[in-house]
Amino acid sequence: MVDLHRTPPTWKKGQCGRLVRVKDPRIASRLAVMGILPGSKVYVMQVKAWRGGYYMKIDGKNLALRAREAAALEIDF
Amino acid sequence: MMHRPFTLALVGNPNSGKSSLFNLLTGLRQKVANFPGVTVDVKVGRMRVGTQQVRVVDLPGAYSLYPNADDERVVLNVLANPSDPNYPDGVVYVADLTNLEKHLLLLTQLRDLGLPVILALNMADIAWREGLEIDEQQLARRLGVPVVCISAREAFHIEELRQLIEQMVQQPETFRVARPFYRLSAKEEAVAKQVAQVSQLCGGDHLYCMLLWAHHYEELLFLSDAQRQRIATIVQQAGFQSLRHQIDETMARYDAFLPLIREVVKRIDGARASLTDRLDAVLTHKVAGPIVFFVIMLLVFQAIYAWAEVPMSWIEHVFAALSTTLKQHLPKGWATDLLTDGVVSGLGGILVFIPQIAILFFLISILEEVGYMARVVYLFDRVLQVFGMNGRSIVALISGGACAIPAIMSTRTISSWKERLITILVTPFISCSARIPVYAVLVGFVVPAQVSWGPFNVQGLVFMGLYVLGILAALLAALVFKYVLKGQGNSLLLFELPVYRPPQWRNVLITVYEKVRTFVWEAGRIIMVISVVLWFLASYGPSGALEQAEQAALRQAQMQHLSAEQAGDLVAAQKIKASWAGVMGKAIEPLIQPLGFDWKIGIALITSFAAREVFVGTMATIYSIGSTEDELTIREYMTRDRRPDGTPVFSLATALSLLLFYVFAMQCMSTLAVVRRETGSWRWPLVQFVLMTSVAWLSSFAVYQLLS
Repeated sequence: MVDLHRTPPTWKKGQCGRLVRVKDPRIASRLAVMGILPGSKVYVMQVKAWRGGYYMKIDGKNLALRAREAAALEIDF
Repeated sequence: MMHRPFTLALVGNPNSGKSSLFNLLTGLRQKVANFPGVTVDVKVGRMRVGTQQVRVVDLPGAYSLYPNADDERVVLNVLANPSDPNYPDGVVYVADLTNLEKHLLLLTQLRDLGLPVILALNMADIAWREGLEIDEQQLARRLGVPVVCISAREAFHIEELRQLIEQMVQQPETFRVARPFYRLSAKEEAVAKQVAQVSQLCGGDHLYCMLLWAHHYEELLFLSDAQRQRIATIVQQAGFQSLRHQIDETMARYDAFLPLIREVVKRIDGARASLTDRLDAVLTHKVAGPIVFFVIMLLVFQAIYAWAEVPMSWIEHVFAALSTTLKQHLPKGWATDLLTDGVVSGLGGILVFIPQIAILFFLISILEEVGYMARVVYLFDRVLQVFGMNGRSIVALISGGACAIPAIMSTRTISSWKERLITILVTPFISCSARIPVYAVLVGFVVPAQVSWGPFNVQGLVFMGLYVLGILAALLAALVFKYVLKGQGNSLLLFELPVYRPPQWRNVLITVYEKVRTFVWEAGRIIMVISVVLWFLASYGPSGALEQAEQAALRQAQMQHLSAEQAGDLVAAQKIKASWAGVMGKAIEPLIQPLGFDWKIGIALITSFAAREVFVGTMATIYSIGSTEDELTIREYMTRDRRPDGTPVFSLATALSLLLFYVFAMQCMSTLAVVRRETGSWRWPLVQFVLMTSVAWLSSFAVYQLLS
């Protein structure tokens, strides 16, 4: 289950890297069905004020994530 | 078994262009079907294939048969249940050719369910423009399903698809693939076989269907409690870890088809994606994004007010003229009155909203079509989450400033039921255009027009204050509902932002047509009934009372030598005072006296329940100036009105109290009717009515008691 108190990631706009793993199984399965698996290329397009949300490009797909959901992604920048 | 038409389901990921294809195949021969327990729209239509009628079901977009949202739950519940009335005899799977590797997972699952499938690769026009090449025959051979490249937006190669559908209707068996795409692991197979014994529906040949039951038995609405219990036991005893297996299965499927796609699709990076990125650098920027959004909304509102005014006044005139003509040509009597003042004016009251609804949805669906609305959801999601709503609620809250009816209808895009319900419940707090005439009459009592504070006109500031109060009330109420209502509010958001593309006018027009039709049929019927009831209350009274009032008024008119028009106004005033509405106004007087209202205002409160702007007309009738609709004249008469003890009825305290009442009260039967339709029961409109009326009463009470 999603940990409500997890702090949002400190990614910055313009960073890019590769997805290492997804710590939350619910989010992992959601991403997997969209074709986003470990090894996918990640690019941070936008970060909302107070890290309230993230707009990412992952393997060419544009995705909006809430802070809690983004916190589940482990990315190797 | 009863003969039923061949049922063809359109299945595909969100943003695959499935709905465009549906519109293309069925035209206007479509309707929204109800699925028990969910609020997701599923469209059903008809198409002709050769000599046969085919029923086409447009299932919601889904990424897989592992549901994460209500729409995906609908897809699973239909496809995992061969006895479902919408269970397809064949499937057209729509996939975005420009993004094929992300679109094939669900297809491989459908194949394993043993369904006859055609793969339609959509957006071929864009793919080819971008220099994407695909070997269709190779793909068809390797997947084992027929493949056709189409473009729903350009109606390209649709005839080829129709021919394939015709073949499938005639010989569905030849479209089934026997060998499974994914081989179940030993544990999965064991569990599936045990589950097969629980089911009466599927035999052992549908092992994959049984595996789905094992994964999702809690979400399959068609299972009996006993079946669910038995599957739970099987799953527990086997130590079956559903999520783990789902992820493994997904990976295995990807491992199988990704190399295949790399082989058959040759791509060059598209220009479209880079255009989207450039636009999004501004449109989703944390500062520029919201500013652009508010500018767009400002333009949308300008358009609604500017374009709707003419057709609205045109509709009003037509109905006024119709009513007058009918009165002139039909014999005098209650039946004519019912027809003209009840039915015709009720009908006018419904149809007058059409221009606003049509224009709002026209513009919103263009924004949706080009892909902009998904960005808005992203921008406002965080802020609205604090209030128990979601990014999509912003559309409803802003549209509420024009009219709550289309605003509430627009909440269908919110997939979480709790977030949607909260949005529906608080949207009517936002001051809509019908409150403007009421504010305009009453603001004059609070501050004289000439007073100003520096560059600001104080009346203007009060006006703005009323709007701000409405917004604050909406947010506060949302916060309360967030904690009071049960259910999971914070669903996963995690959605895809589609690439920007030009709108498809066919889809835009169908959306407008559907919304207008829904409003007229669903809400219209209820509005009609209430209009007739209100007509009855205002035109009839306790026996003899109306006749006596009319005689007395005529005598008075004679004594005062009034003109025919003035005499008519006086008669109307005396009659409404003697009517049931008048009786009710007097009956509720003890309730509204603490707010500073007398029974005359009581009558206006009752009649303006039809729609707020009726307040002004009713006040005009009561003050015997029914034939003028000039706000200044009405205000003058209201100023002169005195209570029995000589104090003015409309003091600062009363006027403020009445203003607050109109800011907060649920004085709109059309909205209640729409809320009933959208929530499926009278429970929520009732909650909304009681809440809003209580807030209105308490705030009016507080203001009046403090100031008087």
